[in-house]
Amino acid sequence: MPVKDYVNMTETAGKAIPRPDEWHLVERLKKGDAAAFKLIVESRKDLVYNTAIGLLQNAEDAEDITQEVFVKVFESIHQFKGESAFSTWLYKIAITKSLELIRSRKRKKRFAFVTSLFGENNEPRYEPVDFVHPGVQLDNRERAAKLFHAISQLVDNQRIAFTLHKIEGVTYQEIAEIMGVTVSAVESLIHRAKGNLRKTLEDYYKNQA
Amino acid sequence: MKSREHIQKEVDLTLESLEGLKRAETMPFFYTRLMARLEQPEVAVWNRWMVWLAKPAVSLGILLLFLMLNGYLLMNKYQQEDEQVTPGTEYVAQQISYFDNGTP
Repeated sequence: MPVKDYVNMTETAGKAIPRPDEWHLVERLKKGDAAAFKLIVESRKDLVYNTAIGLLQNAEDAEDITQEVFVKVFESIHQFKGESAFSTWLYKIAITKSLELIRSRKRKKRFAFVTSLFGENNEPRYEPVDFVHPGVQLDNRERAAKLFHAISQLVDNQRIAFTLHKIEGVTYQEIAEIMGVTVSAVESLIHRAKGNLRKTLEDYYKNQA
Repeated sequence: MKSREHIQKEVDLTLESLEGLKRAETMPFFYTRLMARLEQPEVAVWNRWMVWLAKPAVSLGILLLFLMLNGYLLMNKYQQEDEQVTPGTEYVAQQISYFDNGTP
């Protein structure tokens, strides 16, 4: 279905669903129901945004990725077979797109370093320093900034597991489904993430002396 | 110099700084912005190709293929030259042995 046709469709006005059932909404979206898409976006946008901002540590990038995720949902809804929860599928897309952006930024950063050797003034733009999640309590902002900086140094798997659990509040069982690993593997990833964060923070505070 | 206890306390407090974290929310009118994006024309195919080519695995693969092709062409060229040079070399060798033997 072309995007333009979809956008021009008439919404089923006045038929507000108080507690949108995921499966029902997905089925409606597959049939091209614009109201169903709007309900999905409105009910799930913060889930996607919070995941993206936790991984990317940048509000503008998180907004961009959230849009991309829903564009992907719109374009690929027929690929969703309902074998997992719809939210699991959304998390997977959000993580994949966030990591793609992080890797692309790292590539650009490396390229900028190479070009700088040849005298071009190509400064790397992506530096997640001093990011503070907007949901952090006021008293904790300074410490949270240090923690987020340490999180940005974790390897991908540990960062994903830790972010989903601590920032998005996802259970170990669902993280296992999202990452395609066992629950014990998730436990191990989070345990190692905590260990690495502790080590990074210890080094930081030692050097502060 | 800060004591070990002090550092451990700071680390613990920092690790606990996400307690009570609230979920981040998108800016208002997200759906409107999303619809505007959906109405935009698709990214040019050329741009997608450039993104694909910029991946290290792809660019290094192409470079390796290019070097292998160059190596193959150079080898072929030397072989052909050898074949062309051989009669001449034989001729020179014959000439040398002819004069070395002292016969006019």
